[in-house]
Amino acid sequence: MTGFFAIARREFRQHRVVLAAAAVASLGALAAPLFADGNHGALARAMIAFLGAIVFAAGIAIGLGATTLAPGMATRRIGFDFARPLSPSAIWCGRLAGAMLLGAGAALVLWVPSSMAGARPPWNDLWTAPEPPVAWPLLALGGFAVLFAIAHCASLALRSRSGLLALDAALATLCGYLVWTAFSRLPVYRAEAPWLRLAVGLAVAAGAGCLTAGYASVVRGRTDARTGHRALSAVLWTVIGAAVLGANAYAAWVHAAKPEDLREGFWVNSAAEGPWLTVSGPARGAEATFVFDAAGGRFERAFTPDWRGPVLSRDGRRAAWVQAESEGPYPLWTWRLDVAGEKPLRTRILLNSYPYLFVLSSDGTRLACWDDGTLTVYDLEQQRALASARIPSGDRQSLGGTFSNLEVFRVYRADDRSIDLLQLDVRARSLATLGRIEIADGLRFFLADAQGDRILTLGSRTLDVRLFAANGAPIATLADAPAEIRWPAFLPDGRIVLSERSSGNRRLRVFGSDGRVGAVAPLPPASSISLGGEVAPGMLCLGVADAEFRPSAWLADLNAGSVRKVADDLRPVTTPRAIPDVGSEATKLFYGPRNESLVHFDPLTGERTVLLGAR
Amino acid sequence: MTEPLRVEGLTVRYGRAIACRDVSLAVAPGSVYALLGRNGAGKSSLVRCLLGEQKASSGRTLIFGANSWTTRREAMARTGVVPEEPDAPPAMTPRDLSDFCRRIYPRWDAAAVASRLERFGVAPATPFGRLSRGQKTQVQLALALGHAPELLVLDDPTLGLDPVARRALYDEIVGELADRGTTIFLTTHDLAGFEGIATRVGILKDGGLLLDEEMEALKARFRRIRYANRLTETRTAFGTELDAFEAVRVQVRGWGIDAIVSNFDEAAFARFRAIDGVDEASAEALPLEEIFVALAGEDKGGAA
Repeated sequence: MTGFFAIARREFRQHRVVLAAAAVASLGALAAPLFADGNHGALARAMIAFLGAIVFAAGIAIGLGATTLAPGMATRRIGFDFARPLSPSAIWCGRLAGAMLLGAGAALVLWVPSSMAGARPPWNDLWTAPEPPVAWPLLALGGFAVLFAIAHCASLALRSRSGLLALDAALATLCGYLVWTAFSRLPVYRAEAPWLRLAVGLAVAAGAGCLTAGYASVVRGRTDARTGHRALSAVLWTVIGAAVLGANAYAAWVHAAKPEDLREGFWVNSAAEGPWLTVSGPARGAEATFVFDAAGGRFERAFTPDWRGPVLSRDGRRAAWVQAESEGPYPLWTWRLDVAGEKPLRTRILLNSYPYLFVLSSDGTRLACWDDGTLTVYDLEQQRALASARIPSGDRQSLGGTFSNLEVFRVYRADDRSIDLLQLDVRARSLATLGRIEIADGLRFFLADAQGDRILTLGSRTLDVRLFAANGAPIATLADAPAEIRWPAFLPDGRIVLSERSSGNRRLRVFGSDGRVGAVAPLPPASSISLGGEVAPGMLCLGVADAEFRPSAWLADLNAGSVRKVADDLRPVTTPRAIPDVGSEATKLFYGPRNESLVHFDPLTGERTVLLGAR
Repeated sequence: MTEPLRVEGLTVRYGRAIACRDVSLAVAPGSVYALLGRNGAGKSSLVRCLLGEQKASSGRTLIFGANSWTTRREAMARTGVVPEEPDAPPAMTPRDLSDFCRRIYPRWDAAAVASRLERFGVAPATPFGRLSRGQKTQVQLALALGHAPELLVLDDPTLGLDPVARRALYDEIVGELADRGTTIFLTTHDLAGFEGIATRVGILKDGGLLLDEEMEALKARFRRIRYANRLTETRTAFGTELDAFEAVRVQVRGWGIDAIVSNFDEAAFARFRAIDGVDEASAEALPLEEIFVALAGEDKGGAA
């Protein structure tokens, strides 16, 4: 250690003039308020002092890294140190430490006077303060050491005048390409953790590679710059090569996530018929979305550019999604699910973004997209647009829509008080206004049935529930008495169910398709109740969360007006908007305990199978 | 007693070029070994390998019995080095340099260093980079001797020195030898200067060790023989009269023959003088420089 300290001290003393330069610069920072407008003076001082400290420290790292060792090796002046009883470690680390001390000293000389005058690090003005606070000095020192090493490596490579420089350039290009391939393999949506891991891992590897390569160049090369360059290249490209190959392996591993890798936070959408569903959740550190066959286990991962996953046709025979293959425009992918062995198809249809409205027809042959004010209906068999229409939408408006049949697409443009009812005739390529629903008390939400023939609305203040025809004509008022909570839903046969809590009592009310009042079933006390699917004619599944938010699955007999609990810790996957067919697979899918699994559960028989996640 | 310095089968390559080829030599304790060679003969490469500053392509170098590449640090604790090119940090003054070395060597004699600098007439507060070439070498010599090394390695120490500085350097080395019996290994072009100091000589030529011999023995077997030759018709050629000697260099002059032989002995010379036709034969001892030129030089080769 004696040699290390002697070298570090010598390095510091030899270049201590930079401290004087830093002191002069600090005076500039202190004087900044004299030249800035009123309130900006303090910020200007903080900025100049803080950024100046960083620039000074970085400049010292680069300057000393490039000039203290490599030129000495190239001219053999470093022989002065090697002719003493100093280890190569002391020579390398001592110079590095001396430079770091000098850089840190210069930064402090620049920053401390301004800090004493009230300046604070400009976190939030530039970036978020690193946590914990001790992290940023350590990061700064680490960055300083890496800059020193990079400068040393570059300087030695250039000064050795070796043919290896061409090889270095080729390997740097190759590694750059491999870094690009690694990042390009990662999903773009909600893959922050893998991106960060990859970036940090590569940065650490590059930094460690430069540091170890610099060290190796001094240990192996000593006073011979060419031998030093050889050692440098061997170590640097071994470390960085291993890192970029590891990065590619990691990216490939993340890319190759399977549904079995989903562990928690499942998000499932199921087709109204058949076993196919889309399932999303974190897998191998990134958000992953799969089109998944709950019965056969087939799957395809969809790399969508945002949170929206693939959509499934009601008959469960086709899936469609927008694939993020590049910056955009994005290609539309479809997958025939009913044909064994069929691969997903990249269509010729390109979309600038994931459309706000993205709806498949019941048979999956047509797709309606609305984005940026234009509704377009595509024929997926022929991969071409059939019709489009301008449908402007304001900031406070939301859009919904459904295929009434293959030739008619109905659009609901809603704001907080009304719903515009529009209809695009695909064959005639014409847009018509069917009517308008006005809700005087305000609109909380609305639902259309599968064909878009009827619309249910929920008022925002009194929670009144009303039923309208496709043209906006009122059919019936299902509930208008005051209530604390109400949620309506369509059943596959056209009937309507309404979950409500009034005066503290919960109940489930059933209405005919025309709004006629039917059975009423009392519901258990709960903090919330969600409506599931109809597992058998008249048997509706419910998800009940008790006062402590523990979920359980219940079965309501809509004809008898009774309910019973069928399972603890299960919550139905399906929602009223999906309107799954009676007894379909979708009605038997449940989220498991703590949302850590996807469970197939038959409420009638009690048969339970964990499909994905924790078993 | 362990040899302070030994070279075994040392080969140094730079790509396809060979700087040293299978060189072996040893330096006895207390001796002064002068390694001679023309520019590019491989002396500096050998010295760098010796000091553990450069890895040999094959073979090894030992300082005090230990591999100087793998145990360089320990070797340098007992060795003082004066490099061919002064390499101390230019911004540091001789006093700073002495202070720096004081922190590295456990037995650093700063007073001795200061005393030597004073003898050399070097200002201790002048940055090293501003000193003359000769002063730089003197500073490096003072630093090399500051920890009383058992082995002193000097790589062409008189390069660029004026006669006065050269004399001061010789005196210092002689003084070191007289005081402590330090072993010295040096490479030099200043053959005359070290002739009286060196006890053993090695000559490198084209990377190979051409000669490795005690100075006295070397000087004893080399002689210049001059004679007129009546046996030749034109007096511009010579015949077989020199066959009894190993003539390393023979030149025909206007007045006769000028030959340098490497196996001189008095009896053979007496027989040579008796040969009919050999007139005015004389034999004279050679300075080291002449021997070196005869061995290492080309036809018109001067001292390296």
